[in-house]
Parts: sequence; C-alpha cells; structure tokens
Amino acid sequence: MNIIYLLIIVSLVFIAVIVAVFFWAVRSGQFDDLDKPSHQILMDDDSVDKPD
Amino acid sequence: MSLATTIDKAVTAEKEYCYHCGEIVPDHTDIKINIIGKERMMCCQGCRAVAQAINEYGLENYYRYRTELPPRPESSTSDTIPDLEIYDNPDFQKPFVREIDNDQCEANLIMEGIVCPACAWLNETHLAAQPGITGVAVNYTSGKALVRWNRKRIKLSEILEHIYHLGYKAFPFDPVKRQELREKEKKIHLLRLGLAGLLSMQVMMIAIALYAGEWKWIDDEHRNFLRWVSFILATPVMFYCAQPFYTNSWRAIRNQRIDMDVPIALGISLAYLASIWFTITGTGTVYYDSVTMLVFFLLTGRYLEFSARNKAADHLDNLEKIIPSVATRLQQSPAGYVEQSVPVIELQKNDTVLFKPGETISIDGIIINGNTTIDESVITGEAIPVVRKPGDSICSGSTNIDSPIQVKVTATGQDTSFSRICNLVEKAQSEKPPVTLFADKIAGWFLSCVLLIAAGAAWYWWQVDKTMWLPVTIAVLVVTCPCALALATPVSITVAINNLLSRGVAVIRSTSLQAITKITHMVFDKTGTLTEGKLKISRIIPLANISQSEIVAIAKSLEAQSEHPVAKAFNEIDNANTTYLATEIRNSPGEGIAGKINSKKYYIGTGEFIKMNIGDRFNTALIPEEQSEHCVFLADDKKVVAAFYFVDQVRTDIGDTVHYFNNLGIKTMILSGDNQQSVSKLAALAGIHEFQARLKPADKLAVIEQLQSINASAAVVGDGVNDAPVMAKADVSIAMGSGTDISKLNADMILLGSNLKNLVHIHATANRCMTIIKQNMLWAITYNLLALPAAVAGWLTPWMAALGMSASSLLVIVNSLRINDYKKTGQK
Repeated sequence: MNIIYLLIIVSLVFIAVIVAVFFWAVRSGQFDDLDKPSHQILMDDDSVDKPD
Repeated sequence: MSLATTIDKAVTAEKEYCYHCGEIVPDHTDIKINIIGKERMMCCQGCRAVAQAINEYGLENYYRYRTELPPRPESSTSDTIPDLEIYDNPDFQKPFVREIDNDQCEANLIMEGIVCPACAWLNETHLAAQPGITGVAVNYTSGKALVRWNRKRIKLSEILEHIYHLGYKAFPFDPVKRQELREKEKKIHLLRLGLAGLLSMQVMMIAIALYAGEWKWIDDEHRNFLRWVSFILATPVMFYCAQPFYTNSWRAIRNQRIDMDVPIALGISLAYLASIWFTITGTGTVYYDSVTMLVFFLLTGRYLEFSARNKAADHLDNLEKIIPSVATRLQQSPAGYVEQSVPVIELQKNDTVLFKPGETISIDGIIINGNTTIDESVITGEAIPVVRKPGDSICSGSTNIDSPIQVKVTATGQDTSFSRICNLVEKAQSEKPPVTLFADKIAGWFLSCVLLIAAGAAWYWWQVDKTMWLPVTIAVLVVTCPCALALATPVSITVAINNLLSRGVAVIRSTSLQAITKITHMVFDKTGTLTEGKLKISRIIPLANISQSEIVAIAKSLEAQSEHPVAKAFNEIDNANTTYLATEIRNSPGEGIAGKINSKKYYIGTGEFIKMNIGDRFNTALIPEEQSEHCVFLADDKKVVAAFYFVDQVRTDIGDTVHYFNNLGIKTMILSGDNQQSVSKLAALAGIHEFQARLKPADKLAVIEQLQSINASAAVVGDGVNDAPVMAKADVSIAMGSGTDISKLNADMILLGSNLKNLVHIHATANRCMTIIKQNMLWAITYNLLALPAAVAGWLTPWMAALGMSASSLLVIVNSLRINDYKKTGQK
C-alpha cells in the first residue's frame, strides 16, 4: 500500500501544474470572451489587411 | 521597563478608542490632539495628521455631524502620498480633464473612503476654501466629485494632495478605467471559482477513501497521510477562495446585521479548524470535503450573479454620452450673430444657443427662431417626433431633426428636466421596498439557535461523559451546518438565472425572482414595449388614376431627403421600379414636403398641409372614413392622388403573453403617454382590459403608488427614460433590451431580445424556482429537525454528521437543477 505515498504526491504535482495553467489562462485573458472566438472561425476576415 | 510596571500599565489603562477612526489605541501610544475643546486620543500618526488638518482648516464640525467612522488613513504623512505629479502632465490629463475656457478646467474624480455625508461635506468645504478652486461638488451616493479649478493658480496634483491629506483617496474618473476594474474583478472571481472547483474535487476523491476506510478498516498511518493531503488541498480554498465570505460577514457584523455570509463563514471556519485539530491529533473525523464543496457551490452562484450584473453595467457608461459637452452659442455683435463653440457647462440662463439638425439638445430652453421637429423619445419614450416652433419649449436629451433652431436657455446642468428625471430615479430607488430573502432571515435565526444548542450539548456531555463532549459538539455544529438551508436559495436562484439568461433574459437583481411570483398586476408601457416604436406603412389608397407603384415612387422621391420617421417608413419600401429626382424641395417640418418631379409640382404631408397648398380642391369627401392616427396624403397641384396610413408595428407574441397573465388572474394594464385612441385600439388588440392614456411620468408613478397602497404588487415592463422612475418604484421592473440606457440601470431584469414571450418564461421559471426553493427549505428544515436531536443525543458520530450534511446539500442541488426541466414541461 505504500505506493500511495508516491502516487498521491505525484497527483499533487499534477494539480499544482493544472492550477498554474488555469491561473495563467485566466490572467492572459483566455476567458475574457467566450462567445466570439467560437464564431470567429466562420467569419471571412481576409479583407482585414488595410491597404496603406 | 520592569514586568511589574508593564502589568500595572495594562491593568490601569482603560481601553482608549481613537477619536478619528475608532480603532483601539495601542498601549504605548500617546498621541493627543485638541478637538472641539477637549484632548482626544489618536491611534496613529496618520489619524493625527488628518485630525490636525481638519482642525487647522476649521472643519471640526465634521466630528459633530459624521455618522460613520472613516477608514484609518494609511499613515498619510506627506512622504507616503503617491507621486501625483503625473496628473499634471497635459497628455495624461486629456481623457478626463475638460477645458472650460482659457484657464478654467473641470474633472470628475472618484473618491475613495466617502462613507457618510459628513465625509462629502468635509471634502467639499476644505476644497472650496483652497485658492484657485472655483467649484466643487461631492456626491455622497456615487462617491464621485466634480471639481473645477483655475489652472494658473492651482495644479491638479495639489488638489489631489489636499484630498489625500484629509485621509481620502481620489483618482480621475474615466469609463475606460472603470471597465478595467470590472475586468479585473471578473478575473478574480473566475480564479477563485476555478481553484475551488479543482481542489474540492481532489478533496472529495480523498474523502471517499477516508469514508471507505472508516467503514471497513484503514491503517492509522494511511489515514493520517490522507488527512494531511486533504488539509494541503483544502487550505488554499479556505484562505483564497472563501475570502469574500469572511470580508462580507465581517462587514455585516460591524454593521450589526447577520446576513447569509455570517453563518457560512462561521460554519466553514469552525469545521476547518476542527478538522485541523483532528488532523494533528489523529482523532475524530475531518470535514475538508464538505467545506470545499460548499465554498465551490456558493462561488458558482456568486459568479453567475456577478456576470449578469456586469452586462447591465456596460450600459451605464453609455448614459453619460447622451448629453453632449459642447454647444454653439450665438454672440450678439454689430454685424449680427457670431457662432461660438463653448462647453455646455459654461452656458448661462438667457444665452442664445444654436442647434443644428441631428444635434442633441444639451439644455432646457425656448425656441426663438426656427421651425423644426424634435425627437423627444429619450424623455417621453414616444418615438414620433413632435413639431416645435418659436415660443415652444424644448428639453435636454431630445434631438433636433429637421432644421436649425435658435434657443434661449432657461435651465442648464442639474436643473434641466433630463437631470431631474435622473434624480427622480435616484429618489425612487432609495425608497424601493426591500424584498429580503426568507432564507437569509431563517439562516441567521437558525444559526443563533444552533450555537445555543451546541453550547448546551457541550455543557451537558461535559457533565455526563467527558470523552463525548467534543464529538457531540462537532456533530451538532456540522450536521446542522446551515448548508442545506444556505444552499437552498442561492443554488435554485443561480439555476433559474442561468436558465433565463440562455433564453435572453438578464436578471439583474435576484430578489426580483421572488417578487415576480407575487405580482397582482402586469403593467406595460406602450410605445417601444408593446410596439416597436417604428412607423410602417399599413395601407396605400390610390385616390386618382395613377398606379400604386408610381405613387410610391413619387412619394419616396419626395421623402428621400427627410429624416422624419414617416419618411423612413417610405424608405423601407422596396421599390426597384423607378425613382425620380425631386427638385425644388421645400420642407415644412412636421407638416409636409413640396417638390417638383418631371416639372410637375407634388405635395406630400398632413391633411392641413395639403389643404394649405391646393386649397379647396382637397376634397375631404374623398378621404376614407377610417381615421388612423398617422395619415399622410400625396397631391399634385390639382387633386389628391393617394392616402397613406401608418401604424406603429405591434410586437409579435403580445396576445399569447397577455393571455397567459390574464389566465393566471394577474391584471394586465397599459400606462402610456400616447393618445386615448391608439392606446385603446392596442389594448383591444392585445386583450388588455385596463389602460390609461396621456400619462406623464409622475402620473404613472402615482398609479403604481396607488396600487401599492392597496397591497397590490406590480411588475412594470417599460422602455425609455420616462419609465425609469416608475420602474424603480415597481415591485419588479423589466426593461426591453432595445430601450434607452437609463431604464436598464434601474431594471430588475432585461429582455435582451425584446421578446415579449419571455415574460411568460420569466414568470413560469420564477414560480418554479420558488416552488423548488420551498421544497429545498422544507427538506433542509425536516432534515435538521431530525438530525439535530440525534446529534445532541450522541447517536451521530461526526463523520456520519458530515456525510449527512453532504448528502443533504447534494439533494438540494440536484433538486435545484430540476428548474431546467421546465423547458420540457413548460412549453406545451
């Protein structure tokens, strides 16, 4: 049963990584707009380049 | 200092409270200052500095009038004041400082630390006394200050410094900044929620192992290890995620209230502390799982409520853009009038101002020159523009449509009708009947009882069996932890809010869900609510031998130049046929248009306009009997060619919606500013039995107040500023998504898609939500009544109590999710 000492510690490390990724994602604005990006792929925005 | 003297001092020193901020004065501090003829103790140098400043400026009256204690200043000696000089940089000032005239500047500041009217008074009086400051107004409700100063005599940084010296903080008001603050707040909410979710799942997983171990058998060593792991996982939830509960309940206790957060904060911290104790000693049972789960579920509810509120707040910023900040003043000179662009705030009574077509009126005034039509929809909510001629008064917030007008100013700034309507809203808001949640009261009362019972049980078992008192006390506290009670309301409301949001209804105040189930009257505004507020041609009647398409082509060409809604209705007709070039267009605002097409003269306009132009040849016998409120004729120079009828497009689904409420015995009612004829017609069409026409905002308010005085409860569906006071007074206010911005600020709910059918959904969902809340409450109360005696009797071990509580909470949540089932059952 002593394997749980290793397994649980490993899972704690995983959780720490997940939490870190989640914090990064929120702080970098990944959750700012949850509606637009899913539609954006369908929009033709080839004309965005401004001719200047 | 010897031990004896230290003790001596501690014993003799009565607890002193700082005269300025009310904090306890630390023992070894001896800062005194003379205020209102007496030596007063201060707790720190910061308070001393502020009190001294107040004293020196001769503002001691602040201490007489204040009703709240100010926050303790963060040691505001001059070296800790942040670098304010950046505020003097002209580029930095650009977004928020307005230049009034050569050296006069004006800026809105957000004030931090304004807690009572005395604070506002203190800042106002102190600032007004400073040389160079020409005007200052501090708004206590909004926490905003308007400051005007002479740039040559005082710098903005110096003004801010004065405010800092008083112990307050000020920074420029800027909508962009506010948006930023909101974004930041949202991110913190999300971080808390996400972290609590992640960690509570881990804790739950370990808890299963612990429960299984409790049931079968587990090594002490393994059990302790698992407990320590849960402790590590639960700690961030307790200290980071649950923080809002602590701060809120602390604020509530300080104001001598008990709100929902108090039992929550107490419950989770007690269970957490007990768990730590048992983890360290290796005895008892731990409750990390219950605590983290509870925090996660509660945060979910808070987050969804916050998001809905945020959506409405975005519209708040747009409101301030309605009134323009610059106007064209006409200056009398020997050569005639000279146009001069000045800030609106500079305008004085009796000034003459020019408003061009398309401009928003920024003042109240009387027209002295020019005929035009004015769109007053912001004030009256009615979309049809009105004709205004010299001698007529106009009000700020409305828009000039047709031609330039010269206006004599009668009221500016806060005195304009637009501002007054806004103030009315504020007043009605503060009078709003508070709908306190049943659960809040119960939970507070319940908690006090539980605390007493727990104390009693502890005392009893201490006498009887010393080994039992702790497990029993914990079991009592945990099994009756107001979780099921506390969750019952927020989770159901969260589910209902989310359900409604997915249908296009934003619920701004969750208490309105309860209020709407009790309404006896459903009150509608007409224009913009039951109708779309847009004119549409309903019938074209040819009165001469000309084809219909020809008639339309002529009318459309004549109206092409005009911005009037009638003209817009013509523009919407798809007529690919022919268009003519109309020449010699002459526009008589509000009456009609004359013009030449193919060298033939045509007139389009009201009956009177046609009569005026073609005289007796306008044969009234020709006009069909049916009189519509909006009717326009087309004539050439000899005879009337056609008649056009217009209707304000009635929204779809209105019949079904009204039918639903009528069926439930809820009285439907129209209150409108429009004329009797059109209101009665619409009421008949919609199946609404009661209506009142030609009402001013104050009349509508009176109707609602009268209803409330006979214990009726009214929901108001409205649109437009004139509804705002009424909506603030109503028991439930619902705004149309396309409405004017201000009404949104005061609405309890917003129909985002302007779909009236959603009213049915709101009512049905709210009803279902309340039913489920009642079921939840019933369950929670039954459960607690059964579990409490069992725990007191010592039949329950703490782990059973924890399991019971979790199961009870889970049942409540699963039951709440059934609100979503309404989709299937409710749409028969």
